[in-house]
Amino acid sequence: MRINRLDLTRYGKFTDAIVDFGQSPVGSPDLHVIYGPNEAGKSTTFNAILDLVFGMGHSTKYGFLHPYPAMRLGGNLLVAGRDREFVRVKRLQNSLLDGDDRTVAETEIMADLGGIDRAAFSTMFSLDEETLKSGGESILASKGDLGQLLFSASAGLSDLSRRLGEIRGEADRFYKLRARNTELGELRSRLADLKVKREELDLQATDFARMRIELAAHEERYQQAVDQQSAIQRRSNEINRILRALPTMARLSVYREELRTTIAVPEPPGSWKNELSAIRKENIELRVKIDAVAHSIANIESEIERVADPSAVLAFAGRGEELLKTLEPRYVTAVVDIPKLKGRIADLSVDALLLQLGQPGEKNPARLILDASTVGKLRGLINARSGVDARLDAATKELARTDRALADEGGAYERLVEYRRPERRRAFEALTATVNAIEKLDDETSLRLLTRRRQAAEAGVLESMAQLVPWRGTSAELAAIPVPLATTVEKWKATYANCRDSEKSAASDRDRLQSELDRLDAEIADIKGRSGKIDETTAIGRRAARDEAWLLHRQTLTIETALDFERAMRADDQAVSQRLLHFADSGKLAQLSLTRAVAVAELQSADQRLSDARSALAALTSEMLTSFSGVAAAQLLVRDPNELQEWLRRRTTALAARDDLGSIDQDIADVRDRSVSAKLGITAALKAAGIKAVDADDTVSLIALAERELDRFNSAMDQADRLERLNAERNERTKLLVEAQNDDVEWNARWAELCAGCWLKDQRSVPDVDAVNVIIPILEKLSSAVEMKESLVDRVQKMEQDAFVFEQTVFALCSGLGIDRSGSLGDMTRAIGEKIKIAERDQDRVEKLEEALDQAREQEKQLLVTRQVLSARTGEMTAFFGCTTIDEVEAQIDLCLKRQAVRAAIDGLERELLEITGVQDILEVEHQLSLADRNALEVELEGMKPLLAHHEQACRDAFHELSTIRKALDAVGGDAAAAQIEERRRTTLLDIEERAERYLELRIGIVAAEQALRLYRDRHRSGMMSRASEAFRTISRGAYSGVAAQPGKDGEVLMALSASGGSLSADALSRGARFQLYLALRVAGYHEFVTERPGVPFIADDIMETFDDFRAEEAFRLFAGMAQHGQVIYLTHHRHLIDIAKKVCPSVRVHDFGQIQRQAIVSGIAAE
Amino acid sequence: MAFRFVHTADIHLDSPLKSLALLNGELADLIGLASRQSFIQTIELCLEEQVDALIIAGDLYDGEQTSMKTARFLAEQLGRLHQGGIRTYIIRGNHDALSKITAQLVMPDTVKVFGEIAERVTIERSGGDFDLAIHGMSFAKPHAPESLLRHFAAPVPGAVNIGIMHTSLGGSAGHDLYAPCSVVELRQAGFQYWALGHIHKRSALQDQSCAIVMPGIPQGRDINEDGSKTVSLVTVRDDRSILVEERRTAVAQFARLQIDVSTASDWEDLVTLSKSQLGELASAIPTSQIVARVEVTGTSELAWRVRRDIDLLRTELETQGSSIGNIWIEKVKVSSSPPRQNGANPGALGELAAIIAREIHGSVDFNSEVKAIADELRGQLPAELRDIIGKDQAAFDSLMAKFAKEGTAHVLALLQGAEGE
Repeated sequence: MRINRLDLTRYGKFTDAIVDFGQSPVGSPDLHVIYGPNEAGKSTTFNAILDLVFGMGHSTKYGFLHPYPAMRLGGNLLVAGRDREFVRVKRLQNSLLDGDDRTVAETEIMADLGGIDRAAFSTMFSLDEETLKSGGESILASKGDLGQLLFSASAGLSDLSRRLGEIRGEADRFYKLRARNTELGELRSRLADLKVKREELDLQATDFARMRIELAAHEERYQQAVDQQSAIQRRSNEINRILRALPTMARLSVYREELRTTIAVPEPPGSWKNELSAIRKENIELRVKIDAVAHSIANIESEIERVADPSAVLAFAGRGEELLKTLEPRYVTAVVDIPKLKGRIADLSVDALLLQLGQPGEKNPARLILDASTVGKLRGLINARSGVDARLDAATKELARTDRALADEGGAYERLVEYRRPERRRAFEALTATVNAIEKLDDETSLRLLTRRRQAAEAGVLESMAQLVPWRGTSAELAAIPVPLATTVEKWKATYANCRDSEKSAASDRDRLQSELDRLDAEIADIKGRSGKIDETTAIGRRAARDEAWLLHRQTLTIETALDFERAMRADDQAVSQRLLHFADSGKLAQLSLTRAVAVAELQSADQRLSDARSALAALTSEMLTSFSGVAAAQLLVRDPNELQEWLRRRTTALAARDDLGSIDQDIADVRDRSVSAKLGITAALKAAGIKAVDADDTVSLIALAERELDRFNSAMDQADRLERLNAERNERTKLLVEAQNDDVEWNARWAELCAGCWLKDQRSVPDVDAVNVIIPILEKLSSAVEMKESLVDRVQKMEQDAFVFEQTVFALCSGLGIDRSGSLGDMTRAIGEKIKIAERDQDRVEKLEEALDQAREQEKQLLVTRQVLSARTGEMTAFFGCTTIDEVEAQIDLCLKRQAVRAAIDGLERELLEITGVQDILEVEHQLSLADRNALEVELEGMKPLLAHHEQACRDAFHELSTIRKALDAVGGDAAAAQIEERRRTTLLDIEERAERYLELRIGIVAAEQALRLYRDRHRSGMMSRASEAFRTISRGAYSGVAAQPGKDGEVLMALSASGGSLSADALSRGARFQLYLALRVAGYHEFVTERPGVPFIADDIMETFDDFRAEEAFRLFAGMAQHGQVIYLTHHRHLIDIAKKVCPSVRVHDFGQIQRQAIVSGIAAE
Repeated sequence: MAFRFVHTADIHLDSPLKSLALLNGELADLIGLASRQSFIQTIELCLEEQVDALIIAGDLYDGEQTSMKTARFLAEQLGRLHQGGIRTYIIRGNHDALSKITAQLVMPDTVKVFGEIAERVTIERSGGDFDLAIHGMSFAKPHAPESLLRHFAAPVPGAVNIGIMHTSLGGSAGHDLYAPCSVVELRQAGFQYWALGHIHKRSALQDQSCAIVMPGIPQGRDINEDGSKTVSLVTVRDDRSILVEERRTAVAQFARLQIDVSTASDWEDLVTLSKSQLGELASAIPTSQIVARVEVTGTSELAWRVRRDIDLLRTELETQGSSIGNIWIEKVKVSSSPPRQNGANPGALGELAAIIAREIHGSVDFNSEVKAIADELRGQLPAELRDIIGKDQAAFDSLMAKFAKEGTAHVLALLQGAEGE
């Protein structure tokens, strides 16, 4: 594959840029240097090549200027032996197109790549400084492993060792023999932990079953222990019962004997015993109480008789109380207050006020007091007065001012009415609009400018027309000339160039051949000269003459014929001997003749080619002439399409100049038209406004006239407006003055009316506002003085009445109660109070005594009834026992109670015995006890005690064991702890399994790769080692004589051979030498690739940054060597490298990004 | 009145999930002990729906399951049904027959565990409702090479007859024969409902006279038990017609996702495509948690890149999964391959690949080195995992061939192309 041309149509920052690599050179290296400063787009170019071949992918960083759908790359590529046009667009499918935008299969562009994909392509066939550096490092990392180095150089991998190392590292992390802290180790210990935990938490079914069997056994053992213990306990309890029953039995026998010996009496009710003593006690109490009650009745009765009757006094109690509580306090107050009030009445100054009012001696001052409504109205009018005065004053002044203003204006309003007619106003408005519509631009100036531009344009047209010689004619004729298409011209140019090349080469061939022919002729002549002109023809001629002479002689056999024959024979012999003598010359001559014949033929062919070329040129000329079809053909004597193209370009320029001139003429006409129409417009508007204008006036004067008239009109209009406004104002003012005067009259009328309605009318004249303003506060004071005096007089009268009522009451009560009236009113009052209080106390005492008497009598009656009931109860008891006294009754009851007690004791003991022995029948008990031997039993019981203790302990032990195992079984819950741990254990196992598989894959993969690398090495060693040696020698400028393979610990290693004869391993090389070695290996790799396959472009990106000029020279030598087999493109931003490249490889082609982009811009503009 | 019951089987209590996804602690918290969670959901379904009975057609737990805690858990859960007045009918399957905990289990009174001889339990109902006859038979031994059907009693006339049986039916892929019998034979038995168990994939057949239901495992345990998992909610209506409904019980569902790399134009495209396919998968499955195994298939030049950067793809998918919320990535497998080259030699890497394929794999040197590596590792693995490197020679050979193929592809992928591409 080779890139003939790369079109960066719309890609990255490029638009329509083309990198033309040209056709593959024959016999010289296909080396290209693309020069461009940083950011000029070198890496874009590299990516563009990849994108063109492999597609742009889903997303690309080169779509920043042109959006994805617009992105486009193209190029002409040598693929599978032929040049083809390809276009690549950004599309998901069918993104590869041919020159006619038809879809092309991807395989077509990749035909020479043998399935190398994008990644492999970019690593194998590109090299940059970074790769070079890491490639050098990788040599160190690989420890010189030959297989790895050859492989990574061929594959373009710069860090094969690191990658293999990483894979190995990943495997080793999982497991490595004798390594500590591997993942596998960790996972295994986690497994073990989980197992232990699970065993702690879990209970297995087998353990559970075992525990259940143990439980059953323990239950049985416990039951046995309990049985034994309870048997002994039972016997022990039985003995204890008998021993406890024996004393009780003895007591029972004693009670039975006592019952048998006591007398039987009738059994009274159980309560009698207690009742007897109560009856006795009650008898005594009754007797004492009856005596006490009789005595207290007598006492009360005598007390009542001793108290006097208070009812006569109590009849006056009501009035007495009123006297003391109400009348007396009022009397005391009146005596004190009356003199004080009388003093205050005397102090009131009504007379002074009357004097102020000018009404001294007025009998009824209250008459003067004005009602509230009148006062209010008076105050209202007083307040309104100032407003009325102010309005009147203001109105008068304003009217006077307006009149003055009118007088100033002169009052010529009527004169202005004419101006205010609507049709006149409309005419002037139209005039204003017309004046405004005319552009302020000075048309004259515009015309001057345009005229100047026109002259320049005219000169331009003439000049550009002059450029068209030998063609002459008008610009219209020029425009009418039919012009061939640009592509046609391009085609003509190509044909012309071809023909000229053919013509030139034919002519030069012809010259060369002609001189060759001359040389040959000279040489032939020389040889011929040397050989005595006996050439083949002469010899043949002499042989024919001899044969003819012999024939003639044989026919005639005369002396003449014999002599003739002899002569002919001699001549022939001489020729033969001459020819033999110059045989070598004749061979050479024949050779020269042949050469000459060839030269002649070639000359003829050259002539033919020359003539063909010329006729082709003539045909081209004729085709070109034909295409101009007649009119201009005679004038167009152009034979060279390049000149034609140039002439066409000038024609375009001339036509553009002509168009320019035309457009200026159009502008001038426009300005003139505008001026004329403006004049017409303004004249009409002036006429409409009734202004006379002279026709000759130019537009400017007309505008000036119009503006003057407009000013006049506007000022007249302003004055009319002002006058109108003043007249309106005057009317308004007059109206306001009349209103103010009316208000004044109305106020005066209301004031007089108000004063007439009250005592003020009695004054000598109606009082004015100021007087009323003083009178009103005095009237207010008078009103309150009169009111106060009336109230005080009323209070004195009421107090005097209270004092009189009090005296009358005291006298009346004294006579009713029989009290002496000689004392003072106070003494008498106290005596009345005393007497009534004593009478009330006596009344209370009599009431209390009578109540006590009633109670005592009732008590006496109840005591007598109780005595009767008690004696009836006593009679019932004596009758029951058949005796007389209560004491006898008591003795009988005591006897009966004693028998009852004995019987109860017997019953209790019998129950106790039944309880102790647990037997149902008392007879059975008696029988058993009668048989019991106390001593024997006590002995037996004593013997049982230790046995019992032993069995109790055994029982407790068995129970403890049983409950322990029961608890353990109950503790087995349904919780998930164990299952959870098991789940984690299973997951861990799965994890180990997964990682182990991965480990095996990686390890086995590495083994496969390593073994394959050895095979790769063996296969490519011979091909690559010699080339690498050569390249290394070149690039190291002879410091190293080459490389060699040497067996190492882990296989063969690469050694560098120094010029001095020593060999160095990779780690002994300097860093720079390692870069050089890597470069040499890459060069060898490329050669190895292209020996069996079509060439592939190799792209190097500024790898010589750190190289000195000598080293750079050698590097270019290596690239030139590679370029013998395939296209090599070197991208750089160092200009000096171009010179170095040219020196090493004169045929190198340099592409300058600056130019490429400029051309792209130019062609872009042309396309627009 | 209708008679309703839930039918399930193959519960395999405390049989752990087999998935690397559980290495994620968050997920392990969510779906750990899934068999228990799923069984609790079944019990809750019974209680919520207030069914009359729960039928478990065998395999309560794995044969090797020996923890009494598992049995206790089962008993506790069945105790809840007992309290709710719901009867339980259980037969033992092949796993239960093996199980040591079966014998120790004490069940609540309402639980009927059928014996090794076919039994019949009748449920007599009052008020004109139909009676039911439930027939069942447990596995006595782990294997039952012959049909158990002939041991079942004839259907009770007039009652609705339900048969419970653990059977591999005609035999299914991946299962040995257990009490084999055919669907035709089951139909001819005259029962109205066959509650089957044993096959972990659900299948159900129903016609006018009979419904035969294999409910499948209620909670898938690994990727081989992927898809939706359910129990059957069965209603025998008053007219004796039978309605079988599926109810989800799985707390986690295993799912496979295939991503065809050949439809992607480049890496970003592949990532976008994968994410959107993951999203589609999540929205198609209504289960609470989805454990997905992703496989990248197809032919593309991206195949190398996919192999090399599979971790990146996995991270992308995991991120997408966590943003969706309930989808988890178990494993991302690569089985895509680069396009085949037509005889041409695609550069040094291609040549190396060809050398490995044609000359290294299978060579004596290579095999002996591989064997040494495998033997060394085998010695280091926990006892449970020794067999993963091949039980016998044939298994070992085929496994190593697979590892060699995968390993080579992986190593070559890592050598391929520049970084960061």
